[in-house]
Amino acid sequence: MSLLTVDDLHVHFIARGLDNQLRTAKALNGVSFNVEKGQVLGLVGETGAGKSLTALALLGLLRPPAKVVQGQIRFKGQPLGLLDGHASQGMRGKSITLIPQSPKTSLDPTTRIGEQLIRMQREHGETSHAAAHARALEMLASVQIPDPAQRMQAWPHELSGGMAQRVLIAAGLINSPELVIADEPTTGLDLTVQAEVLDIFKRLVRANGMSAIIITHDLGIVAHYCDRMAVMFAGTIIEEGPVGKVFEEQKHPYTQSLIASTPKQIALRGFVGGVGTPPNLYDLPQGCVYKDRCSKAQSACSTPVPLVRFGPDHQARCHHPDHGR
Amino acid sequence: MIPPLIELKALVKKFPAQGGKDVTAVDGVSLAIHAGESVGLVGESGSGKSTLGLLMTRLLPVSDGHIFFDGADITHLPDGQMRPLRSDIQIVFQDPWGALNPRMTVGRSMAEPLLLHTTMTATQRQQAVKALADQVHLPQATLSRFPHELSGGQLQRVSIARAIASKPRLLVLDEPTSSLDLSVRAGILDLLNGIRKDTGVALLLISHDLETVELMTDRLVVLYLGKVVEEGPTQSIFAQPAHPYTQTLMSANLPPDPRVKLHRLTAFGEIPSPINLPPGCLFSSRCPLSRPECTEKFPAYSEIQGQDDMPDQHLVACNRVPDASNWLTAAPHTH
Repeated sequence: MSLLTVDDLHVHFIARGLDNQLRTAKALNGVSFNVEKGQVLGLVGETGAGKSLTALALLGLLRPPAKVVQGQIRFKGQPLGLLDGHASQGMRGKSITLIPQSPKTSLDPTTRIGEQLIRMQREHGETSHAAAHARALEMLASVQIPDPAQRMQAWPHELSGGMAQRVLIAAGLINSPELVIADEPTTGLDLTVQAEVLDIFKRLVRANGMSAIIITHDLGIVAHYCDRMAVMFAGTIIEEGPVGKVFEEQKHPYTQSLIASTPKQIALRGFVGGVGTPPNLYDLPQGCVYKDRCSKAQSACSTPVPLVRFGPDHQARCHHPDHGR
Repeated sequence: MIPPLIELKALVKKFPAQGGKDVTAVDGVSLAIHAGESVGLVGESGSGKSTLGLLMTRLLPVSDGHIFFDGADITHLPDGQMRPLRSDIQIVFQDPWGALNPRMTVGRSMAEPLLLHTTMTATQRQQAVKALADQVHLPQATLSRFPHELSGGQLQRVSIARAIASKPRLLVLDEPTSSLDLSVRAGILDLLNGIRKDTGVALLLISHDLETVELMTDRLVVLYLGKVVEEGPTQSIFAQPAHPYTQTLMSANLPPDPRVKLHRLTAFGEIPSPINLPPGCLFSSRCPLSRPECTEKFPAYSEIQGQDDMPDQHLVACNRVPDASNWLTAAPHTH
């Protein structure tokens, strides 16, 4: 049994426009994937693909006007409440945690670091203040924050971006979750700091046998820190497989154009097009969501898209995926 | 001999900080860009790379040192005399959303530089704007739209169109693609390469993205806390980064290819505060190879012998280069 199963998740935003007409933005359109125990999954895609929205759904943090119209999420076989915050409260912050994107705005500016780390444990059943204090110290040390005892007393504004992100990693792992979701964990950090932060994160996840989802638009992070990758486009996972396999033989034209867009590939092969705006979520095309950008699009692409399997662990949603290279 | 297109000599920029102290953002930078050359400027936050871009374009007053354009000293040229030169030196900023006037149509924004720098009639300007839109692959229909109606990639194309409207000879690009998605970024880089090929404009590309710099530039300048620590042909620096800081920086790069093995080199601690910097090599407080003399004075530049066909020198400011003990040993990266 998979640790996490997301099955055909559809999320719509339904709101009134300026003309007072109800409009529906189809933000997630049948997202399905699994996360196995001990595995790190990279969720990649461009702005607006639905990566962060998927994370919010996993954490039970969707709020109106977002509406789950179809699908379910199971954690260790148990369905998670999707919209009702209270139903999954026991899970969220304990078994499933989030490492958010912006370190400087994700810590409470009015509370010292140590107190925040202690409170997170007390919220989730730790009864001993002393034990929570000791655990907070241990976590700060494990994310390589120098002089943890002194840093417990620090205010968030006294930390650099890299230090604040380490504190958030400590916070995300402090309750020993089974699944941790890191949403663009290093965006805005310098290259050398990013590398250090990701190394610490991966080491702790591995050492504790946790599973993780790293949400990112950076293919370099996926290539070096994830075991599997799922590529999203317009609220759909269009390709999923082991990182090595997907980088070596991309099956979906979108994945191919994404990897061809990296500077190294441009240097090797020249610039390939495939650029354009993502589809309008208020007015999605029939059939394949990528067809308006796809160089291989044919009339068949307006019909429902099949899921094509390439071996047991690699699959793509496309009418004519690349079968061999 | 033809002078460089632009030359900076011992350029310094200080900003006042709290308590009567100064922050030296750019500390004695000398570099030259020749006509048609593409130079990359890399370094992390606080290294002074954006400040240097603003100084070169004379958008910030210089504290000390000199800027020569076409061999003429323009360091303190008054605004009135600077104006005709502005058509030659243009800049594209990182944030395309903030760089355009939200109340002007895109077409009008693109016509502005023509109004300032040319004697075109209104009809000629209209024609020129249409031609510019074609040149940056922007649909004609977008010209009557407002900035908020365009995507980030389209807005960056508008910014580039504005910058090349006056046919500049130097284009400073301050992180032109870092706020854009991968496939959009590729299109912008392709456009910039095309413009360079067609017009022979020189580029200064300021970026923290090593992959982009490697693709786009002939020569590379590495800044650390306002000082040039290494410069030379891009290929040569990527093949053999000689300064321990450059080695650390390059080892933190994550190539989008899982087959490439990482060899992570780490420096101690974090980048020091730019207020009251110590004498000597600014990297010495974090450098595993630091020697006592490294904290005394800034190291002299030594030359790295590269391949013979490299036209430019590869220079490094490190005391350990002369006896070739400047190499950090790489620990294999394991998960």
